[in-house]
Amino acid sequence: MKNNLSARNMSVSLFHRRSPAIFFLVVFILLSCLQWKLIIASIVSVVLTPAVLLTTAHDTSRFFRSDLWEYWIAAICWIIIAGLCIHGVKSRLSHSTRCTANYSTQTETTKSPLLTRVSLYTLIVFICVALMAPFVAPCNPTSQGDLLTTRLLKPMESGIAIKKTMTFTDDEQSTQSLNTVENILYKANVTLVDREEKFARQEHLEKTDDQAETVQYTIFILGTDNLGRDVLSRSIYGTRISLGIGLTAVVCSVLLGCLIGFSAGLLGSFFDKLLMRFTDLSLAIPSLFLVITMVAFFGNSTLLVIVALAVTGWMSVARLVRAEVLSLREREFILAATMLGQSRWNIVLHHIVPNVSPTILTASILQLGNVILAEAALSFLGLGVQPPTPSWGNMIGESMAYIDSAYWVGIFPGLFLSLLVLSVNILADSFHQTINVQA
Amino acid sequence: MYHAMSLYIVKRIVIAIPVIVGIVTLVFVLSRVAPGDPVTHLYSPTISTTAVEQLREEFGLERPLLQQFIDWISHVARGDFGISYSHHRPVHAVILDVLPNTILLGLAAIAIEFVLGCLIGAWAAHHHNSFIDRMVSGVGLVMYTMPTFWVGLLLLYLLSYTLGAFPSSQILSIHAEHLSSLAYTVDLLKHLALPALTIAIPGSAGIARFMRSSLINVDNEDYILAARSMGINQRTISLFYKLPNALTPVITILGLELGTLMAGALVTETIFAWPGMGRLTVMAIFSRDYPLIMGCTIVAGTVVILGNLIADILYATIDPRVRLV
Repeated sequence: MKNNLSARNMSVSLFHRRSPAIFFLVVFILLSCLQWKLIIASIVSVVLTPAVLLTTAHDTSRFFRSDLWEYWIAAICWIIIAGLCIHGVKSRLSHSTRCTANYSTQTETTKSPLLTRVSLYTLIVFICVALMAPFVAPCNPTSQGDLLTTRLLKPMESGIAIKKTMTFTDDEQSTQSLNTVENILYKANVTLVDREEKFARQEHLEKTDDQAETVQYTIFILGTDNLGRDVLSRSIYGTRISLGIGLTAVVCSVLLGCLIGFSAGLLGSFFDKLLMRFTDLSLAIPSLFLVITMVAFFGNSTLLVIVALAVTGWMSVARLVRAEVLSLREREFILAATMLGQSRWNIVLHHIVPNVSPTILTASILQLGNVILAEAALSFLGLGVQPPTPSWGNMIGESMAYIDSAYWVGIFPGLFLSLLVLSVNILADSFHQTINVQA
Repeated sequence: MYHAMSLYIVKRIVIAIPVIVGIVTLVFVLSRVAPGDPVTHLYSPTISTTAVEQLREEFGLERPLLQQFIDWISHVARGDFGISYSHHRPVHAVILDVLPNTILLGLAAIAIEFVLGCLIGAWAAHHHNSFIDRMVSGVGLVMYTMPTFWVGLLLLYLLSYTLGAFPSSQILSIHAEHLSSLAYTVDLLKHLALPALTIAIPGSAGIARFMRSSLINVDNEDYILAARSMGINQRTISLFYKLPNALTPVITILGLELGTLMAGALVTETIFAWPGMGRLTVMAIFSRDYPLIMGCTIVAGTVVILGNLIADILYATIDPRVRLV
């Protein structure tokens, strides 16, 4: 019975119930309508880039810039999500009559509580926002406004964004020599990098008479920080740092934990004792202090933060995996498999690993919450992600200096952070319960 | 029985020693694996090569690594972590100056955490499966996941800047020297309130959760049924039968909380400019004060391990079954 339970089954059961698909669809379509220009340009850019790179005779730096890759990722994600939406709508339309007949029998066993589903969707929204940050964010997260007029604007206060048209090269002549495909790509890429905005308020409008600047109203939904940067856009880009560092560190630490846990559980007596003493030792050291010591000695880079978080987070996974493997080794079905003459590797791969996987999944989700918090704490102290790259932690840290006059700069990133960690923890909790009930 | 207890304590201490040695070793390894040389961190890069050689000789960096390691262990065992670059004083003196402040903050936080957590947990367990229970659990989960620094920020904004009820930073007011002893204590407590609450709020949510489930478990025990059937009134059962039995596992959690507490102190002391270990560590990192960083990590690790040791011994004192393990 336990063999049936796998990580995949659990995740399927979470998605199986009637989901708020319509809501997601509406939000997605709304977003696409608002940013259609950017989305089309990104898709054109990602489609034409390989072709142009292979065929062009020109200097590629004329139409590429290093930060274009994030638009490419966003475009690919947009295409995938659009595909999923079309597929979902299609299947719902064609199967709607048949599904209603089977509905009750199909979903009775796989019902998961409302809170779990809500937190799962929250997590999905966060992931989508992180991947498609350039489409979702209203402004460029690092572009500063005029300090005199756009510093610390309250939430929902409006300013005027003066858009400067950006190009790759100053001389217009260089575009003449491009062929049609290259020209299209060039125009798409120009649209993408054309997001350097300057903010000013009404009274400063008359001063700008430059032809290359266009004017548009912007409402700063969550206000601006002390350098006139949009808090909402920075929070949206901060999602990417939190989830990116969090997921990478968790994958690393879970791999490390599995390696140590499996070898301790499978190799037995001497290795088991040695590795478990080592695990206890690592567990006894306060992890944030260890991370900070590492950052202090090796200097702070994003890679180091990931490594430090991975090195300090594997212990709980290792212990859980070891305990699970030890208990599984004594089970009858393993004995049966041994008696049937299966090789050691076969037993480990086909009988032990699938049975340990739910435990690993639960532990890693729980670890994700901890790692996100730890990264935020590090960035808050100024030891993690360095400015100007926005991360929730360093946004809150920077806001400390003027918290008495501008609460919104620190409160909103903290709200997002709490929401993300809360949904991750609820998810871990419900996975844990699912395992306990079914085991 | 007494013999078994002392044997248990000795066993625990013997287990704790290699862990502390492990921390000291780890810090040494980290400092040697790290790029750069202690000497180059200490002085400007334009220093002449002969002077560097001389300094390396003086620091003992020319000797074999094992010899250096043994030297380091023996120095640490005597409480000597070297001279702090930024304070120009022995590291242990710098740490000893601020350690009482952190211990004060930690004790205050633990006290608030314990009292608040137990009360809320007992309240929720008393209204088991009712609306109150679910509400407390929900709010508790939210509190538990809130990052410490964000809680600190909220408290700072709401209680300090908006209401003006508490001072926002430092451990004492500037004029505290001239106050009477009572006013001095009040001043200290006022400064202590916000940082202690910041650490205690997420922790108390965890303890409340634990206390609730512990009380509910105890409620199903046979001896409670027996007490009820003997006609003992509900208040006596709750206070003298349920509570002591439910509190036992909570105390172990308190010991484990120490690690979180030290990490919390790191952030909280930075927010409230509380002159303690956490702030010292962060400042040491920014001024690249390597001996101080190493000292702080070792002291923090040792404090956590000693805390766990005390929790273990306390647990064994309360619950004699543990000693047999």
